[in-house]
Amino acid sequence: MRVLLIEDDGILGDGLKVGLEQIGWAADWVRDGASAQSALEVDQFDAVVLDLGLPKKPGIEVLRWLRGRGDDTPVLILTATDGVADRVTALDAGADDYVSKPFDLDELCARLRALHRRSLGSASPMLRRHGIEVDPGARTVSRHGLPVSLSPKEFAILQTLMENAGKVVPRQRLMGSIYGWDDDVGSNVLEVHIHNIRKKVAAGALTTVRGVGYRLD
Amino acid sequence: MSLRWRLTLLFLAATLLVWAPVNLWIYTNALRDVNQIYDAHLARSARVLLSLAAASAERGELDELKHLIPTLIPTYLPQLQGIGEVAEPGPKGNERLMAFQLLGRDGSVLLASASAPSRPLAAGIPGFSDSRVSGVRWRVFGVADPKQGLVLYAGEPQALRATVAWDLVESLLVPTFLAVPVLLALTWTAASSGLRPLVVLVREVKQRAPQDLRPLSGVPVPPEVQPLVSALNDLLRRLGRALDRERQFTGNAAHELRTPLAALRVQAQVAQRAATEEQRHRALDQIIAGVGHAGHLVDQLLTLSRLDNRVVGQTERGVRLLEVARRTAADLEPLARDRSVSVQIEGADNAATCGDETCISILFRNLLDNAIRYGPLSGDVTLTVRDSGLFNRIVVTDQGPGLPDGQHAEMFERFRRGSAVKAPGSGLGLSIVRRICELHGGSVHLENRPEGGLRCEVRLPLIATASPDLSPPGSAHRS
Repeated sequence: MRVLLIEDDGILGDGLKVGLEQIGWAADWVRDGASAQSALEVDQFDAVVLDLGLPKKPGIEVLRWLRGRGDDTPVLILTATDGVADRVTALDAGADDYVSKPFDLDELCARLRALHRRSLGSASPMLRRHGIEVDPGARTVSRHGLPVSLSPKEFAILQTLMENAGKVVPRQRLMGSIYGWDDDVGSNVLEVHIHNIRKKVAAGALTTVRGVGYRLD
Repeated sequence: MSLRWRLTLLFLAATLLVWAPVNLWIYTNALRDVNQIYDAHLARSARVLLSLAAASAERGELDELKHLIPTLIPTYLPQLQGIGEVAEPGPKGNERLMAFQLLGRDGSVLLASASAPSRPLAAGIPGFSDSRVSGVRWRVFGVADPKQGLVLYAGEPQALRATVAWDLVESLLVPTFLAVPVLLALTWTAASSGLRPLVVLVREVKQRAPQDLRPLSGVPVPPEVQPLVSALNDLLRRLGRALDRERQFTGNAAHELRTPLAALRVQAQVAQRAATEEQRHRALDQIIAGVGHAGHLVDQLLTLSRLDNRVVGQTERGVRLLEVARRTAADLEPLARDRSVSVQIEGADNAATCGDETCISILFRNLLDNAIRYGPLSGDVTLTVRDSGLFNRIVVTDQGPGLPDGQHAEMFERFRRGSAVKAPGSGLGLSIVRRICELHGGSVHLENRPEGGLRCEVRLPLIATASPDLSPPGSAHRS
């Protein structure tokens, strides 16, 4: 899962980025509205965390611009005000959810997961295929009822493949779900993760599509 | 003392003040009237008696008169009530009533009433006279009959007249003093009724909820109380404005503190679930930095809040600007060293303004802190203090990026931060600067320098040379 963080406060932005990475997500962080627009123009994200009080361009304008482009990436708003007016404005402008500062990191992650799930058109939190069961909230995987231990990155790749079961997921998309822009990544890192996933859970179900990516049948 | 008591007593005092001379006037008038009436009777009695005596003397029967006198006198003085027995001692003990003496050619007393003293009442004075014989003051009328060589003195103790006049006044004074308590009660009631508008006003103010700061209206007040109501309304208005400012400020402050709190919470959770020692350390470092920023924000908030509620002119005295600037720069030395910024303080040693030294120091600190923080690493920051002749001109320059056009004026708004700013800040520094300038009757202005960088100019009033109290400490022995 790949998240764009748009937050001007250095310490909060850093904490969010590290916090999301800790659970195996890829997080990219920009500090102002203009950079946010460039990022959203060139990249695809599973969710956006948007602070409303941004320098240069207010968060609400970034949101309107995004929705104006027809982009329906889930957007979660961070607000610092008590008043409902800001939230109503943001929700009406196309935000999917909001949390008020200060917030709990776990709650923020859960809300992002829920937004992501809904954007995939699924109400159930569990992903099931070929006897493989992935619980994104609890971050557990089991095969035929037996628990399987995966690293955070392996989990993220498996989750992306399960969410797109039956479709070919491009390499780039899989890489994006586990690494942000700043991460220095070796060329065959993805192959190593895929190898491990095959060995641990999905021996026959995971197909390599040469030159394109991978598919979970 | 209550206004009601005050009014009552003042009214009473005024009444008595008028009554006293009125009574005195009545007494003197009465005394004059009594004197005229009594004198007339005295004269008439003397003449009647003398003519009787002269007639008797012509017949050589002067001695017979002796027997007649006790019966004669009451007949001729019928108006003098209460003194019927003229020859008897008066009804009030030793007080003696009318007396007469008939003196012969040689001055010897031929005939006298029992009430008369043994010595003559007067000495050869015809008409009215006052005399003192054996301790009694007499009013005397003398009349002479030259043909028979007789002189008749009719006398009356003067105390009698004062008594009669006093009796008259007394009859007036008694009801006066009886009237005092009645008057007191009536005045008290009148004062209470007169003060009713005040009571209504007091009730109106008392019944107010503490947060109700609407102006007092709908209370009918007399013109004398109107200035008080106007002053109260003015106070309420000012209080309302101060409260609004406070409320807005508290709201803003709470809002601004939420972000650092969110940051601290998120970093704490990151530290909790850190997989490596290095990650945990990094998160903890961020928390420490975050607490520092939050602390700075709180400091700035408190400074601004204190400045907001400050009354101008309380602790003001002469402040030597360059000295304060040097001291402030020394405090900021560690920050300047971290950023390898060189700070120059220059200008006129004797430049001074009238104000609060702590405030001026906070002003310099914010200006220098901004310049050091937002200027480039290894840059130069200069603060100059000059006396322009009209005001003190303090200019702080840096070599930073300056501000985009149109943002210069906005930067003084609270919680406004430059859009290109990466370094953490409270967004309150320039608001504090502006507030201190306002408090000291000065101004502040930001502009980009043509050669690059930001220039901030503060103008503070010159010290009033006319008032020696405000001269800067130690300035006397500096030229």
